[in-house]
Amino acid sequence: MRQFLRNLKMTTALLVLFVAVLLVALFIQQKRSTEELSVAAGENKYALQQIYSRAGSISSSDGVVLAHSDEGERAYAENSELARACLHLVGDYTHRLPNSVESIYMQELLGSSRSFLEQLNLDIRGQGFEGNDLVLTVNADLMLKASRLLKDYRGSVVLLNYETGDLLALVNSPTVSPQDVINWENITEGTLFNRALYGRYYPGSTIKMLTTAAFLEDPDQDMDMQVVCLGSEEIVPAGAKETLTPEGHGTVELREAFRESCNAFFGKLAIALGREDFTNKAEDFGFNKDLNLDHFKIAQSLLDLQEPGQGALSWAGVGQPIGQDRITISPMHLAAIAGAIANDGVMMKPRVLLQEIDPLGSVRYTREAEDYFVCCQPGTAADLEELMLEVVDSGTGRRASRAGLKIAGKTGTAEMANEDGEIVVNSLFSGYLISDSHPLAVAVILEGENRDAATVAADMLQYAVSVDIP
Amino acid sequence: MQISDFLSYYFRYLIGPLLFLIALLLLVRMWRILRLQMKISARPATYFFLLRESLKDESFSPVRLFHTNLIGSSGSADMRIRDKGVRRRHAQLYLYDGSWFLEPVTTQTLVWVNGKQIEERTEIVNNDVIGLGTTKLTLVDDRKYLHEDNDSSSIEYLTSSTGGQAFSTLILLHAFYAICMGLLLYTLPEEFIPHRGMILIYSVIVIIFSDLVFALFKITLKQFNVDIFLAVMALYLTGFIIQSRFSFWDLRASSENLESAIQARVSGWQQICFIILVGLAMALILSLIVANTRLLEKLGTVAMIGTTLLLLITLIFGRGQATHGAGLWIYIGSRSIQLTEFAKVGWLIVLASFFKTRPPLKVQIRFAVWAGVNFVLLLLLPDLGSAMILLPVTLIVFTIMTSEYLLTGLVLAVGAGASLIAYQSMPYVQRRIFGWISLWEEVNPQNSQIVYALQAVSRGGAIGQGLTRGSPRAIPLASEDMVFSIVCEEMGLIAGFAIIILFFVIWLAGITSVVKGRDGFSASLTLALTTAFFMEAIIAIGGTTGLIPLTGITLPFIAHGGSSLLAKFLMLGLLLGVSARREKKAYRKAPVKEAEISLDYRDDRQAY
Repeated sequence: MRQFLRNLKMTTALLVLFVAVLLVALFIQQKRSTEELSVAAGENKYALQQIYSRAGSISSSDGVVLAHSDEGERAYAENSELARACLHLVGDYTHRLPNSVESIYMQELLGSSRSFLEQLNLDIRGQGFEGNDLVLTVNADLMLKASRLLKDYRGSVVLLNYETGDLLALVNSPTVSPQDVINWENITEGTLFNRALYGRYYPGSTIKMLTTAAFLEDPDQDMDMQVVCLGSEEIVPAGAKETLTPEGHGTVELREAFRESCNAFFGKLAIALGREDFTNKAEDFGFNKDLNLDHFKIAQSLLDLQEPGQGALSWAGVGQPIGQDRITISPMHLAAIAGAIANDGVMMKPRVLLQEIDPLGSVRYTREAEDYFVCCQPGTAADLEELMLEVVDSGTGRRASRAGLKIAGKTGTAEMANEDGEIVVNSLFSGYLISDSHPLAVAVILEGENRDAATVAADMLQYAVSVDIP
Repeated sequence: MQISDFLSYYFRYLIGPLLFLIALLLLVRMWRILRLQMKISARPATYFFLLRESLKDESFSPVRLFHTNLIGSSGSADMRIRDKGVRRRHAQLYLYDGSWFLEPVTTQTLVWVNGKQIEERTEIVNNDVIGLGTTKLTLVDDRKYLHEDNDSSSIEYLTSSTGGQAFSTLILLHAFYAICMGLLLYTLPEEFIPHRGMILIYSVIVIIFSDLVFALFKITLKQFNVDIFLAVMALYLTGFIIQSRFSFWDLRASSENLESAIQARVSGWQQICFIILVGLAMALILSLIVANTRLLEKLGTVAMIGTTLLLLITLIFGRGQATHGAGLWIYIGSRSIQLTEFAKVGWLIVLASFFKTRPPLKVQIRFAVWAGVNFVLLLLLPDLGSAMILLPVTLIVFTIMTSEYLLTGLVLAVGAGASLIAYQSMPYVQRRIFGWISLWEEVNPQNSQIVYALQAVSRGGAIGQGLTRGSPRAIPLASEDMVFSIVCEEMGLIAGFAIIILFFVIWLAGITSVVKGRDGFSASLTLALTTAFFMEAIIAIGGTTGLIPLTGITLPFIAHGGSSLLAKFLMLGLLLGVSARREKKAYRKAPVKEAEISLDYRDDRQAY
């Protein structure tokens, strides 16, 4: 009997422990699900429709409603062109675009991110059913303009305020209307892909901004270094060469080489810098790091130089990886780099969420401008600015030149395989406007054989100034 | 916002917390009773004791008796006899069905009764002399001093002091049911409005019949375990509420077959009511039979054959792979029945009849062979869910009844090895484990159901979204396997906690009656049944919330499923009956032979 009772007591103690662990585990499981499982592939559309029927609205910084719930229906921007432009950023309630405001900010939109007491307070006031409203930093007018500029291309436009980090426009092409996504109609290859955040493009000559920064900050380098550019002839065996100007640039130094985007010079420069210094500077600018746009994750930009030999290194110096090398960048990051140079070498934390407002109208969250990281010294940024101004003024970026606007920028072209495996030449432009009233940084990447990235970028900046935003 | 939505939303502040309060009240009460009972049971059996004869001076000393006594030289024995001829675990002396029985632990131990050597269980009566080695023990039956009104060792004395608490819990339970059903009736979707009167009447019948059965239990069973019934009542009423919600909401049908769709839903709901009523009645009758007869003990062999037969029938005729992954359904006409649910009950009865005492190794091996065969059958079905419940239940009962810790460890090791082999050889198991491991990394067909269930649990928060305001459409099999997540979504995590606590209360209540020191069969069957309830609930909940690999077990009393619900009421009947058994003969004032040894042992009894 004694032993029997002891067995029972032991088992009871074990089960008490077991129940306690289970309750705690359940609590943790709920917490974890709220954080990690708000979006899952293959969710039931009708259940989601019901769940979102009381979600808060999403609007742009200029007060245009981009998504809202009405009578149990979730509706998107009234202007269908705007709705299409905002698709990749705003998303839709069926979670087909898992990286969009609708999905990532689901808890906030539904109000389930509130604490118990907050919810109780709202319930007592009779406002507890509604979710929280979100105000984004993007401007509807600029989104529309960007989508019009992108109409005939595949690619992305990203426009930032480089002093605050606010995202002003982020548009991808091609795109479809949210209603088509909900009904799963008219979806063609690549239309749901948010290139601006998740595209991994070869940076091409835009990487020369970083090569130059590394060069300027390296005390061992001779600032008056001269290179003889022989055009289509490789500078070292299997090394970089000119593709656009086969006749060559002749003897060049930094200023001229940057203006004309001379591959020979920057190839040599990369070899002079070495893999380590080059990679370190790139990492200062955010390469090989997890970058975030509030709760959005941005595709990591890579600079991973594995291919041995000077040839590969020289190609890396002009942003064209060969062999084992991996060099990629997203349009969002490209814009942020231009913004960092404009902002005396300090990259601001990119922001997309301006405010979160609860049903009572009180603001729960307001974004505050915050430094992200220091990319280069202010002197380097100033030197780069001078070089980039010349690019637009009289160099490869002449198409971006606009009367009355001081635009600094860098062009790029890169050969890469697209989603179908075809080799395409992408055109890139990364630049900014020198203006106290309009601190705008822009990045444009267009897929396919054209050199219009600079034009689109300048049109974008010009339009923003003309409508006085921000 | 519609008024119905508004009401459902605000009542969430009441419904989940109320269920939690009910569970908590029962838990606190049960915990107190169990501790008291443990204290009482650690005391020796009243009215019986042994007289030990000393060889040196021929004097007698009294030795107290428990309900089950292990006699031996081991330190863990209840009665320690240091004697050359006494083994560590020598003999067992226990009270069974009102009589004392003596049984040698192994065939090698020598035990004499009145000078004759015994080899098997032998009844011992007043003045019988037990010989072990050189020690002589005489049983003394002291019942002539029994006062019927002074039987304070029984739990009735305790429950009467906490009876008021049980009553207030019952009242709260009625309030909970009334609020939930009232809310459901008030907010009933338009299509079902014509049936509102019928639904109201049926709902009232369910609760009134429950009360009636409760009253009948209280009247007919002398040691009715109120807490088991209350906890089960809270569970099946919660289940009924949730199933009613499933029955009348989210009807999707085109206009031409709307009428038949409504009819199907209504008759499905009526069937649930019907099963609850039949189940309750069945439980009542069964418990009366079990409590008052020893029929169940004689069913050991029948249960052995029956369990195997049920599993074989399911293996041969079972269908349903397409919808549920395992063919566990037997179709009779248009109705389907899941015989494995009943096979589980059979297993528990076999288990209890084998381990009513610590059986000799030969018998243990016989059980192991039978269990092994049936276990393989379960794996072949494959009904991993049942296997996952029965293994721990068997081990727990085995360990508690026999104290074979080493052997338990061995079985656990073998079980671990077997599950590894099962993992290697069964792709079906591998898929499940893979789905579970990858739960937080990706959504795949193996884990999507759990992911959606967890999303629902997360939407529910602490107190839920409000009854009928969840989205069961988001989860496949929401009303069956995944019902726990919908309870959490609509009534909150707090209601989920309440359900776990209620199942634990059932276990504690079962243990309380085991502790009372009844005969081995009743003890082991109570243990088996109550552990099975608990394990099934824990595994079902753990599975739906991704804490353990999902096995497709349904939550007892709450999940949809006729066979399962009926089998659970069957188990409830057995549990209530077996835990209400009274030591009839033992405590009845019976004419006994006058003790020949004249000693005032009553004073010794006071000294315990």
